[in-house]
Amino acid sequence: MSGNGAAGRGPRPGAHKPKSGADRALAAYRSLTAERGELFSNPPGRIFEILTAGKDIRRAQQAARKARRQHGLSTTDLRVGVLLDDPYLLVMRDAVRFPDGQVGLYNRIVAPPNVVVLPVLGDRVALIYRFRHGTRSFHYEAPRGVASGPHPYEDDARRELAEEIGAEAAELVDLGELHPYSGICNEIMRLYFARINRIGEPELHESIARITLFSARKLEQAIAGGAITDAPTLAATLRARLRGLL
Amino acid sequence: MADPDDPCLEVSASYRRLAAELPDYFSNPDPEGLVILTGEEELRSAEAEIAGRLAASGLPRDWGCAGIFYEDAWIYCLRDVVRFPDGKLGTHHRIIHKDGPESVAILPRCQDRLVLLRHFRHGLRDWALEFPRGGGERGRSAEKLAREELREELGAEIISLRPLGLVYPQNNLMRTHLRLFFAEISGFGSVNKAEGIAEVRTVTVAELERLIDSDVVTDSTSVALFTRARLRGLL
Repeated sequence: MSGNGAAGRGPRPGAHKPKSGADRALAAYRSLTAERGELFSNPPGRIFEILTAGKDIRRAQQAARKARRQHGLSTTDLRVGVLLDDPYLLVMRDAVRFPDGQVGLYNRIVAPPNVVVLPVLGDRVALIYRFRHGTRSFHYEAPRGVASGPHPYEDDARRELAEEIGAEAAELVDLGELHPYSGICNEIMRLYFARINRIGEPELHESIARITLFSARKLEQAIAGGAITDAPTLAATLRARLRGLL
Repeated sequence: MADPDDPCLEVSASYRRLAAELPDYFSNPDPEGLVILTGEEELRSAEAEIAGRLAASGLPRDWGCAGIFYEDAWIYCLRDVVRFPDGKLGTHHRIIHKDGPESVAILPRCQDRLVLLRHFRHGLRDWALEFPRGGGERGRSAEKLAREELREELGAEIISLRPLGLVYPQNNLMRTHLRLFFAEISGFGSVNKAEGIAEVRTVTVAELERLIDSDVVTDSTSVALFTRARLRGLL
């Protein structure tokens, strides 16, 4: 319903009702570590190791307080845990050990996965010209939306085609995954190539001004010349070319 | 004046201050786009309508409030109240980087090999093979930043630097974009371990294509940068 699209994720209250905001953030974090362990993995190597023991978290908070003071930054919010959780976005702050051995705090954003579909009608690629809230401007891009089901997200890809360009996929090819903003966000985009037989009307809710058909050559020129700036659309085009689909 | 039962009371003041401070981010350039409601009266009536809808579904009323619901030294997370093109009211999140919307990413070529960095990425909780990139700083030129990134992350000797336009990694959520560059370098030094970089990896164009095709290189910006360099005929 909202423009961010919703994963079916409800609020995640702590096991009991602690009083302060800091306790609430940490209690929600403890529940999350139990429910979604994959978000807290510490693979081998020189990484930002997540620290979950109470004494390590306190040490990281102390180090962050000191570092922030040195840089003249505010030290009022040193909470570790889930700082925000609504149906579209979850923001959390971890206590970590950096590769140089120092401890501190590191924020990240947890967002639901997306599907990106590059639709081809005959020998032309159909892109939408859509208004994006993040940039407050229009972009040429491949249809995309939040994935609601478990992977593979083929049903989600078909739904986005129907909603955004009124098309049905005669053939759907998985083009692998992409990470849009890996520094602070866990979001995954799953890319698909679709052969479609017709184009209809976009749903008004999606703020799509028009659907434009590009020959492979025109698409390449638009990417090279900088008229297409949406990174996932560039990536889907490249992967489709590497597979000999375009 | 203030209604103590107003669920938006706590988050509304800072949001309105930010809208006044960064008007550019709250503009409504096109009636066909999503319209951000900032007029006091229409905003309050929209918030009330959305809160009513949420409450009817047993959800917290304050999920319908326009506000800054998270802020730290680097970013604001906002919730805007918007009118969709079909007339429906709803909310939409945004992330605004305090240092400005611009950062840089560089594809370095050393003789006939492309230079990638293996980084640990906190967002993924995993390692990622990527081209060097770095955050912006208000008022500094992208080219200057690109040169600094190459020196700091890679200890590179730069022969030439060529701009390749920009890309948006996540245009739904943020205006943040990357200015892309293609760099010829004559050599590189040791990597910056404190930033969580474990190693430098050099590959041929054909090898990189295989790494992208087989889902080993999945960084959106790196793939987009390679695509643009290829289609410009640089590789």
